[in-house]
Amino acid sequence: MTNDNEKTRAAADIQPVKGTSLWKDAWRRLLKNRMAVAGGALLILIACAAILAPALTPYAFDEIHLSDGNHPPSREYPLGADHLGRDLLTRILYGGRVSLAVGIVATFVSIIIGVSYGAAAGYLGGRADNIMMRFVDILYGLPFMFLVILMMVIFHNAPAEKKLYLLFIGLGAVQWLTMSRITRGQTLSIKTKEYILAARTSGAGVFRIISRHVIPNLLGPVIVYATLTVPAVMLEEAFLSFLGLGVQAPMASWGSLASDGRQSLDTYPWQMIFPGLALAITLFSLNFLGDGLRDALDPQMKDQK
Amino acid sequence: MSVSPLLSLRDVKVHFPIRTGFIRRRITGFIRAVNGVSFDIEKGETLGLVGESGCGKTTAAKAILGLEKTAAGEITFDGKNIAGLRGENLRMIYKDLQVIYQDPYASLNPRMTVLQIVTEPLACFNVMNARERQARAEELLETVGLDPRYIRRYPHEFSGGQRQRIGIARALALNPSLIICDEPVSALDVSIRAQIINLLEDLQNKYHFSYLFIAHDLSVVRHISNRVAVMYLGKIVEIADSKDIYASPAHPYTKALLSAIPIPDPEVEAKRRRIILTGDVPGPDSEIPGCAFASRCPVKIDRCEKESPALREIAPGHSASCFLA
Repeated sequence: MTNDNEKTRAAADIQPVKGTSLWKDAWRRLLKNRMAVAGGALLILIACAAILAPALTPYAFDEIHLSDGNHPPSREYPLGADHLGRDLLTRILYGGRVSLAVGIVATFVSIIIGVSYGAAAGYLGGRADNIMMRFVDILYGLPFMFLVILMMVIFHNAPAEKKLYLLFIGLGAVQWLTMSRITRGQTLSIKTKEYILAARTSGAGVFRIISRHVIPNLLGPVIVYATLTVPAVMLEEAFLSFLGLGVQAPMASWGSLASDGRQSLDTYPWQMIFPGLALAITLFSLNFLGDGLRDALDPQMKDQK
Repeated sequence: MSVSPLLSLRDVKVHFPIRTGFIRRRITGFIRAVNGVSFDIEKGETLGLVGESGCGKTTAAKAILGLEKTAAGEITFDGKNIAGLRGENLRMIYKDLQVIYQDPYASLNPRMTVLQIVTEPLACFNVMNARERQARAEELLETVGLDPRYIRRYPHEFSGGQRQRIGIARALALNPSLIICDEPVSALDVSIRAQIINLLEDLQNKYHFSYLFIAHDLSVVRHISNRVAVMYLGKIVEIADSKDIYASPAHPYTKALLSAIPIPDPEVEAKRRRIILTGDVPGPDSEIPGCAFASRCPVKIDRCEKESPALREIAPGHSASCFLA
């Protein structure tokens, strides 16, 4: 037992007491990916702008200047104004709050439900797995818009903020289905790894194995899928708002702003172009970040391409 | 030796059903992975279990650990019957029964630090508080020859041999009375194997636990085992004290295995006569009326095809299942 030990001792002289986790490794690889870093930086910028909106514009989001209706972009209104003379930049910044919040919260909801459900189904296997996944299949078969529209109709006279929470839950409840399928697939492959066996013979119970051994090892694909879920949810929210079932006026989201602007696309194109641009830039950034994360978390995949 | 052995297997069978049919999957046969295995392990003893790939040695180990259902037979550990235990009852046996796995690259959770891996059994059985566990982990790392300062590192930062040491430290954490080593060195470089085997031996001398040492290679087992059992197609064909089995193998399969070990002396090696086995291993799903080894046996007689030889004692402490032994 000399060779191994000597190596150990020699390395110990440099005093590297702390180890690098696989997460840190992935983070380093992510920082090397320019597109992903640019996407991430842009997202942070957009999020900051949305959060700091009151400090960035002199207007309130529902401040009406009827005399400036459909004002083109100018010094007063950098991105123009809508038909009621509300500053478009202000509305885009405030709308970003709603769009981003819906995207992030709904994705978060879907991760929590989907990952625990999928990991439990995959690990338990057999009949439990069969019943749980058939339930997911059935839910897949239901048109989700029907579900969300139903919720919106039932609670149609709830206050606006409450409806926003409903939107979070409704969209999250739809997205968790795919998340649970991805998680289940990952769990099936992780389940056969020797370290799961080792955990069992170390005396770990089912709950401990799922939470400490299975879930940490499948978070990679989940994170990647989550960054792709955020734009999907944002688009769905835009679609719902477009139908008049999402955010209610005078509140705005990028989707509802674009839908309002569509009506006057011929005459006042900026009313549609700018909200659409904000949505597009955000979605692009998220996708680049997602791609970068996938490569960073699973470097072997990248080499195989 | 003591009155009752630490671990005792009596006619243990593990059968895997073969299902055919597309919609109604009927059971049409069985793979007899372990087909009537009996052996004892005394306290402080090492039993080597040797056999080629697919002979059922790992399945036998899994049956002991309750990870595979036994179809028949009795497994007694520490005076209690542990065959067929499930859930919490099964979990409790791991306090005394630990495993060292074959592949040190697959058996350590890559998201956990060495500290978390080594103290996992302690945490599962709620032994000690966090500070005591860390002290125990540092002590264990030192015991297996690793620098305790590496406690916050992750498995991927270690070499294969070092990882296997981490796996050994985990198995030691609860002070078990029996450790099952499932081919603990076959995934390692030849240069590291001797180190790990010596370490395992030193640990046994220090803590007096028993080993069930599984390997597919007689030369690996020779050094560490008190007794050796040779398995072929789900059955034990020969079991004897270590020195007896190497000096006077009785079963033709054991002889063939022994003749395959190279001798580190060119002159002797040149004269070494190898017994090359021909013929095929019968599929484990087929029922064999006679001796399972008959299809490959160089000294087969007519009787071998019709009758299955029982494992019988041919010398004190030396049993073999061959008519000619």
